[in-house]
Amino acid sequence: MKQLNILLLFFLFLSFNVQAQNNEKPRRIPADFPSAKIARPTDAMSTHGMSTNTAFLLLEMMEMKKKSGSINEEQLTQKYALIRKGNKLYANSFIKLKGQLTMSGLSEQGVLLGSKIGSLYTALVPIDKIEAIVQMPDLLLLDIGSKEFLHMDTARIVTNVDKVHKGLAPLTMPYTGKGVVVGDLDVGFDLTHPNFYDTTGTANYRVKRFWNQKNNSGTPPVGYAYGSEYTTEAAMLSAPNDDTVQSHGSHTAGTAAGAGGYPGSPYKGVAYESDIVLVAAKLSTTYIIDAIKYVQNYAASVGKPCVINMSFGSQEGAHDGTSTEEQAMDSLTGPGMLLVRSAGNSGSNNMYAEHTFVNLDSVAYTFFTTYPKLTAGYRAYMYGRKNENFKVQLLLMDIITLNPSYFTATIAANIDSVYSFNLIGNNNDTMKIGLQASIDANSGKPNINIAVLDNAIPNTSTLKLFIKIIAPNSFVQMWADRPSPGVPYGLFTDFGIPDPHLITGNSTHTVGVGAGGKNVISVGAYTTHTIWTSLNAGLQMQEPGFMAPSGAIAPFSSQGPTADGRTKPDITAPGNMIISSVNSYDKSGDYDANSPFVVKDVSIGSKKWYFGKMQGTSMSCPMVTGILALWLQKYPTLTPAQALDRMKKTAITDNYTGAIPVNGSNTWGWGKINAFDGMTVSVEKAAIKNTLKVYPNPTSNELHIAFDKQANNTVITIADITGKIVYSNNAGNLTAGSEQVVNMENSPAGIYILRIVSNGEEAVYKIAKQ
Amino acid sequence: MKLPRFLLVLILPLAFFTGCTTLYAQGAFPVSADTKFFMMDLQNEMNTSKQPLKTFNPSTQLIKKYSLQKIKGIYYVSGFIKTDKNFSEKQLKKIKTFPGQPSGDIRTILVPLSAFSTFLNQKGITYFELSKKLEIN
Repeated sequence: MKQLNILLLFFLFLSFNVQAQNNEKPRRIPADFPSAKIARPTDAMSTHGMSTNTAFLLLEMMEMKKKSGSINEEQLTQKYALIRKGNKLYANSFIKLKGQLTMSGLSEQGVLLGSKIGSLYTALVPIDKIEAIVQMPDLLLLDIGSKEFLHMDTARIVTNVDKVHKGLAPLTMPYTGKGVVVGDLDVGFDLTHPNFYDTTGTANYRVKRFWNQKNNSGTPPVGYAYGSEYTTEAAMLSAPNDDTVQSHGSHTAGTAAGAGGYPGSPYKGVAYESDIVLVAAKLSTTYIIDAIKYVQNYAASVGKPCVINMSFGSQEGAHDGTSTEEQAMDSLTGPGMLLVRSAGNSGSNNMYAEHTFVNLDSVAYTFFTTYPKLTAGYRAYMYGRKNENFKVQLLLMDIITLNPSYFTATIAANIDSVYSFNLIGNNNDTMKIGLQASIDANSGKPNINIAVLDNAIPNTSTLKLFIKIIAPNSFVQMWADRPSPGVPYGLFTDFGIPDPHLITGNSTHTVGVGAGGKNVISVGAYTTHTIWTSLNAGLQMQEPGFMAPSGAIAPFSSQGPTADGRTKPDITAPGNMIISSVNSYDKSGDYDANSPFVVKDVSIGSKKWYFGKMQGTSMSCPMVTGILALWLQKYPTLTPAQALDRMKKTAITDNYTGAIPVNGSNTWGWGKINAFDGMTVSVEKAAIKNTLKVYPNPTSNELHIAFDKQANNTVITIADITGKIVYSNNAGNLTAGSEQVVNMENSPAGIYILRIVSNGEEAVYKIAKQ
Repeated sequence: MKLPRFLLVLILPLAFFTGCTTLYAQGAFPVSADTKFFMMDLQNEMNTSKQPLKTFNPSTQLIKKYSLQKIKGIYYVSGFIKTDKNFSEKQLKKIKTFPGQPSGDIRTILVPLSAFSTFLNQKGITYFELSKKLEIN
């Protein structure tokens, strides 16, 4: 016992002693480590004038040379996107200079300069000269750039398509578009592109039908009198394209449904396991309606839902959803039949004008013009209010003296006639104008269309086409059009003349006719990238007209509303810019190996195919088409209204979209599409709930689900409160009066969420298990 | 620069009222604005060439402007028709047209250019609209 006391005293002493020591000398990380343990730099250099990546590239090169006497080109190329040209290896770079550029100094080092953006240059820099170049006195920065996010990657990520592809919870499986038909009506298809196979790029060809409406040498599809149909893989591959100066269709189809073209490809599209039907369309309204029916007939023949992409449009019409094309399209939508249309690229064109005439204000004027001048084919479409009327007089007006040199009679819209006029300029130069006036058969609105038939008045002339509009106590809207793609749109302007009756154009109401269909999903575009690395021409930057911060609306994206006040576009998606497949038979030079727009090639044997960049609402449209194909895989009877409802409830908003007004935004629609949330959101419909009985609740054993009405494509899932699926049953088509019984005997007591998806609708119940 | 100056200028006889040609759409049913422009251009070409419609060969410009379709050597006009209960597909096929499948009360149709005036007097059609050009965007 005495010994124990001595031990206890000894421990107490030690304990106090330690505490005393701690109080006197707190424990600290040593200020210095033994020198033997210091990892000394194996290489060191000044990084003055270099970006981080440039410095790392040099460091790796030094390491490699030290280790093996040479660099590992393949490894560096993969890591830093280097380019070999001849016997030199280049880095795609940005060079920033202070003061005047010493071009000769850079050239002496073998630098190949690209574009100039202020004091910034894009350039191909020989990697063995980087060290010397950064020593140059005028150089502020040499940045070899970061390897770019690959653009379909980005588009898939920001739209949450990747989450759908992975089947993240609460989804119970990956969704890839399997079992859905994706139709694409377009021009410039390369039927042989590896993007249209499965993810290997060589197996399971996925194009099921191809109708070339432009080629009358073959057999048309049954029920049609024109074009050539291809129904077998061999026939399609030997087609093998519809156009040798266009790549548009290969691009849009690749975005909606491409599988990437090779294993691990970042250019994978959205619905990459869907069935594809392509129609090389004659770009005219009646042919489009035939094409829609063709795709839908095929989908019906194989019992699959379908969504059709249409990346084109027009400005001809009342813009109120009443055009014949829009009426026909509206009637061709329904459960499992969705149509998607690009909003248009007129978001920066002042091609729309309107005027409300009140009280004594019964006259308005505008100049209809374009740069450099109106030529044959320019048109203006004017619409008044239903059951009212308006009149128009055309003049050649001198914008300096404000004297008219020639004018027409005043024509009333309801006169139902077509006229041609010669307006004669100063030197007997003539502008020939067609004018058609009628009550529009579809909208019932008074309508005057003005067409420039010919124009010999020089663009230097101060005489311009002037429209005088008379519409007491009424309202007139007008749209300017252009003769063909690639030339500027017509516009309405006041030429800065400060007359209160002169009206000028703006870019609202520019969502195209077709995209304004009441059951058609119309898509605007936002920006995700403005810089890319081309295959053989280094770093590239978007043209100024397409430039916008990442996340912002694309400057070209057309704006709503429709003429009847509906919000359009419905939704936005990445479209500025997108990289997808292009047509290997395209001889325009836009998408060959040397084009700055091409970013990647794929070889199989001796044949090469390419992926390239494009921008436009044409590119955002197939993003949404692909996403709707994913949704149709889960909800095969999804209707346009239900699809739009899902978009409205889940679209992404951010600093760029701002808060979306309750009735939508005429720039963003309901925001940026969200593929994942749109698919998983609970869209409960009272209608379906009224046809179901779920009992008993609470339950201790069996849960009964009774269906009063026919229930098609029924899927029943039960999740616990953590979201974990504990029961899933793809019950298929159930007849009225049938009942499903779920055994919950072994489920722990607690709260469960029962989801019943049927007829494209969803009902959700909270179930208590005792 | 205010409106009165415009008005004053307009009423002064310094400018000349232009001569114009009027063409009324003659037929059993209304047609679209584009169809009227087409008929005007067609009539002008026919006047110049002095060919009757049955043997008329459209110019390249007319073909391009109005997307005329040549199938087995015959030129066709493409458009939409709206129909009523008197519509007879059989009757239309007699004049060698190709009506498409209906979408509601709307059908697409290919009309031989040579039979276009006959087509405009067919019964059971309430409206004809020439196919409108679209552009990729």
